[in-house]
Amino acid sequence: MFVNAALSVLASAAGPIGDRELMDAYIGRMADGDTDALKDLYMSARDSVYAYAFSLLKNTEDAEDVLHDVFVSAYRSAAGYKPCGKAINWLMVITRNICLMKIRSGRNVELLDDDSWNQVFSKMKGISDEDGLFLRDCMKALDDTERKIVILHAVAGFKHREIADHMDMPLSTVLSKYNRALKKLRSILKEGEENEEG
Amino acid sequence: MKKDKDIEQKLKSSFEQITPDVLDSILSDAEEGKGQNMTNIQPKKSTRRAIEWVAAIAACLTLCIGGTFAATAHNASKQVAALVSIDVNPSIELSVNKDDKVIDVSAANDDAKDILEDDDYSGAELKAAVDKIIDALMQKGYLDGNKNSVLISVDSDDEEFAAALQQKLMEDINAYFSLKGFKGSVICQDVDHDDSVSEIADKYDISLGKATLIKKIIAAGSTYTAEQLSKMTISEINFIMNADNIEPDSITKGGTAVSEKYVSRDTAKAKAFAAAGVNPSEVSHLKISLDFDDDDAVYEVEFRAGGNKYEYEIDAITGTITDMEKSSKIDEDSDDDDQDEDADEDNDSKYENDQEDQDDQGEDEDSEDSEYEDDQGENDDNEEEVDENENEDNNDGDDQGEDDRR
Repeated sequence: MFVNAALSVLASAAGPIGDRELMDAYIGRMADGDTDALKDLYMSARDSVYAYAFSLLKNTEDAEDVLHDVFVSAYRSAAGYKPCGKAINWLMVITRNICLMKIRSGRNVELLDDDSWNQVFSKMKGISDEDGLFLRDCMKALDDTERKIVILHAVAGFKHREIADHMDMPLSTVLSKYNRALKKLRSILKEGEENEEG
Repeated sequence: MKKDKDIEQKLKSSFEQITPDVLDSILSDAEEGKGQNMTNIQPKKSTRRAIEWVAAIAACLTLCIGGTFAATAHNASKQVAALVSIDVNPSIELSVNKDDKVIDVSAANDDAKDILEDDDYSGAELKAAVDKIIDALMQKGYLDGNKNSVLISVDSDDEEFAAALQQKLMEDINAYFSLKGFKGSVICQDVDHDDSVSEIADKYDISLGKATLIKKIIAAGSTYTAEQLSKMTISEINFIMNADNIEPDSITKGGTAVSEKYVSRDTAKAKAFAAAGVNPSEVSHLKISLDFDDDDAVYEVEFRAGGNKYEYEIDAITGTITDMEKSSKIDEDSDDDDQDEDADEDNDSKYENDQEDQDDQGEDEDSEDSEYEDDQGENDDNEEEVDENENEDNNDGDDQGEDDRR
């Protein structure tokens, strides 16, 4: 667990999604059946995949299933990936497709009310109370589209333009939604700080 | 206030903490399925139909694989090759494919809804769509003898495609204008993918195209702020560019802004000097700006002469003086950048010396710079990212090709 955490820190230090070229190399090695490369890819991208799946499904158990399925699927289809510095985009497309299958199979992803959000977060493990509350409030405050955009940018390290491509939206819409979302998050953080001081 | 980067980092670290560790089960399932065709994969807690897997994985593979998974003709025709925005005051955005066919049209502000009505543009030739939009802009009075300028902004990852498209649009619109006997002016440009541009667009609720032009105008030395420019129509901005000799980088322009409507800067200046009864050779610290407030265009003329400071407001259309102020003792605190120079003595002879910088170019430039820096300052947080994005964008030269195959 400690090693995982340390690796995760290293991956974040390399940039929001780690080094894109490095991820291409992992997938290349995965295509040759190298499971160490799969581990490396997992360590670099697991939080992005999980966060994005969570933003789509709003459910920790389902997001965990998707996290598993995405990396198994990536390993199996690695030979078909052409290195182009877009490994994270590729993983996010796989994530979205697997989530869509979940949704099609009857998962409820309707807007959650406050109680349901509290329930979702009460099941979260391994997070400090302060960060857990912050995350819950952020997820609650954003609408579905804003949540996806913020997670793709902040966690998966997508550029706004890539989000526009991925979500098939005009760039200007992505930018304005992103800015609006960040405004909401800033006020949440401010409230949190004020409560602490009070 | 927390910066956006801090918030993003906090979110990222929160997700790092909650992401469960499923590596072991991934490895064991991956090993198990080694050599299997990917379509035989058994997803965890599998309840899904194999057919959906085939579809899902085939769909995602087209992201990075050329050839084998070529997109169908239908998908290719839906693939956005460029975003074209048309700004007058209405702001309209068209997405276009490689064959210059319109995929979608959207209204970026309320006035634009009035122009587009419920017409269906999808599948139309870009030229036909643009002609129709220009025609509607003329019919509804957004373009006429007093407002004649259109801004065309092209946003594409493919620079060559963008440049060719700009040229075609410029020619098309000019041809349409001359067909209608209309003396219009067309400004063409690329859209900047700079976060400071999107900040302007978002803050003032204008298109990225107009925000790009505003940024370029300020960078080229305009004394107007982003806020002032954002409220102007493209015709007004175009007029200011002409009046102030502002030549922004990387735009192409055809025709000239309507100027018959407004008196020239020189006329405004001469009126103010005459009203003050001063000889132009006595004047120093001259500043002239054209402001558009609530549709009233007003020249503000400020200058000093004979130890007095004068401020005139002149209606830019009629050329009449609407307001004036004269202060005999110059207030140093409210003075501009060269106040240090004047601070040690406040007498007439000093001002005579100042006549050397009669046109006050230096002073103006200083104040412009500081305004611009203020604007930029707000975006400090985004700026690192801008560079990063630009670099990455350069590396991602194959974005578009890849999208075509998606």
